Amino acid sequence: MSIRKTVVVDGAPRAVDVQGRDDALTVRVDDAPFELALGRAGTAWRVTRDGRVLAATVVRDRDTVWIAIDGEIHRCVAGDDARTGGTGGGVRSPRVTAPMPGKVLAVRVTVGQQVAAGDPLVVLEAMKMETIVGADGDARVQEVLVETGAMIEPGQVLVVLEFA
Amino acid sequence: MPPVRKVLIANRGEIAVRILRTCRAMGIGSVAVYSDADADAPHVRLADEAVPIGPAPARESYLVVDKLIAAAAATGADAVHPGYGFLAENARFAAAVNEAGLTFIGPPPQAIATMGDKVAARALMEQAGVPVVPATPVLPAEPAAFAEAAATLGFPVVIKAAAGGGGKGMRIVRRVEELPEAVAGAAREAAAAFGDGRIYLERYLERPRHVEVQVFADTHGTVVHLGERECSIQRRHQKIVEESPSPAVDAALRAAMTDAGIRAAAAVDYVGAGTIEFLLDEQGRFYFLEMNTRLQVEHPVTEWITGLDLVREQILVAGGAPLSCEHVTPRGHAMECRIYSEDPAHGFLPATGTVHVLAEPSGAWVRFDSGIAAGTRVGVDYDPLLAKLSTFGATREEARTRMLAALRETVLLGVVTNRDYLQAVVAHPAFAAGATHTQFLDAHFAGWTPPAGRHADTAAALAALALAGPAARRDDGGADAGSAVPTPWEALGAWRPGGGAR
Repeated sequence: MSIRKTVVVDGAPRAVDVQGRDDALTVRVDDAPFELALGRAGTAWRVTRDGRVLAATVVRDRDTVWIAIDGEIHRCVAGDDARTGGTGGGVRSPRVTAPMPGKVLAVRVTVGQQVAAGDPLVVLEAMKMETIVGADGDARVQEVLVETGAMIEPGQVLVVLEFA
Repeated sequence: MPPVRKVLIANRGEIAVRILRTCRAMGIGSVAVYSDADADAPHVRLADEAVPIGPAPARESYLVVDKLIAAAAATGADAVHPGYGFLAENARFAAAVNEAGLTFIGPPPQAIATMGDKVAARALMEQAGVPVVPATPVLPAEPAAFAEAAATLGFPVVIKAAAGGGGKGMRIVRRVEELPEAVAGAAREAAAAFGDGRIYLERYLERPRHVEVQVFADTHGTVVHLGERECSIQRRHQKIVEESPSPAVDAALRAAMTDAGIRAAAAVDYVGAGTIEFLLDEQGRFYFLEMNTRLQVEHPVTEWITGLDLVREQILVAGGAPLSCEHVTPRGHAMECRIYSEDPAHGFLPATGTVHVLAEPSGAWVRFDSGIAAGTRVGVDYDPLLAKLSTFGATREEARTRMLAALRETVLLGVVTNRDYLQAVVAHPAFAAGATHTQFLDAHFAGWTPPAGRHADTAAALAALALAGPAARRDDGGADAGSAVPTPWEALGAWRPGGGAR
């Protein structure tokens, strides 16, 4: 059995390939190979690599996997849905999403409007803080999916753009 | 004043938990209040009784005076502890509590009101001989008037709008030649922003430190200080790391600052725990900033170095007892880090989610105050402070390295926090050297991104396995379809030891 997947680890997309059995896995991350052995350690995972044994706590919340290992915390998101709002790296998406939960304070654009890179699209508020969600590039506004006063969830699509 | 027998805590989160613990330790009754969003919160479970006070938004629950007083009456509480934030510095709330025949665990309403009025407070502090930042009254908007004043105050100076706020109409001026343009610009900007073009001049402090004095007063006229705290590490004027003593304060300066703190408290007939905040400039001169008429978020560092339980002292003083902490000699060094649900790599945006895993740090001289538990939903309704981690050591370096170890042990999965950022701050050579000031984060941490970590590629592999695991099966219509979190073992999915694929 084998798994090939793009996983965005702490904001950086990594190409992951896992082959073999749990007690003898061959892994390639961005083409760099290494061996892993996994087992159960109470509620945690026992991870053996290069002769070192570590405990990892792994929790999955929908498309996000949180991993605590050796004092480090990593937030991993399944490949294609990794990007949110203006805060992620990677390719620009025509679907502009909310980087955080909160309330829509203002919608600055209307359908059909031309916007330039950086133009404000929607103003959000959470915990008394305002955040402006801007356009990732020159585009035409294809759809506006929220209105002023609406409560929104992180990742919710706010505006759909058509890039020039 | 009768001794307090049962306390209603008009707050939530870590401070409610912290106050409840002291009530329990003192053997007195406790009443929690909670909004709809907090029905399963730790402070509700810890209290003897709990009263629902309405919907999640604070203005419909934690900020509604009548509901809080009704809850106290319904449960037979005889005192109210406001914590910090919410109604803690609301003089009308303190007065309403007193009028209802209850004891307000805090200062008299008049002291809250006086210190809440910044102009009145400044005038009163000048009268009491507490240094304030040298400033002029409103001046005519002419370069000559400002040049004369600047010569007296000494450069650099800052022009400020009388109606001011938010930095509008402000101009920092370092040389006399810059004054004409700055005066005209500031007056114009002030008029545009506030409809009031009046401006004045104040001495500008370069990279000041934020140093505050903890005071405590009883109803018998005794006022004492419990040393200082340095809280210079701030982002957007919000403290994230605090410590005591301050690395910048020697015995002579401490004597002068604590003396000023006591004079400030005495000037408003203060009762209970209070904090006088000062700015300390690079020349070792200090200036009154404001007084916080309540328990501070960072009070644990004072508890570490004094051995006191400040909430216990508050409750005893509110019951009319004389101060028990009149002769305290602080020892050692304590540090606190505030753990917030926010993303320092992305403009400190507030983060939300569910706390799936919480591993609290422990060990000698480590304290973790939190208002969350596994399963807690972190939403947008309240302050993003999740927990406070504090450590103690015989020396600053011992407390600092202990903090680094404890931060590493602090594991919270499910919500983005500033933990890695705090680790980077506490590990920074300038912080280790005690070279802190209020612009420290702008100077050293602009554009900060989290370190990649040594195990990012292992994490990538584990994540790929977890994502390939049983959640997909559940989404296909299992009994738990849509359930977000498999147990760790389920998340391991097909990769059972010795089992191969299922």
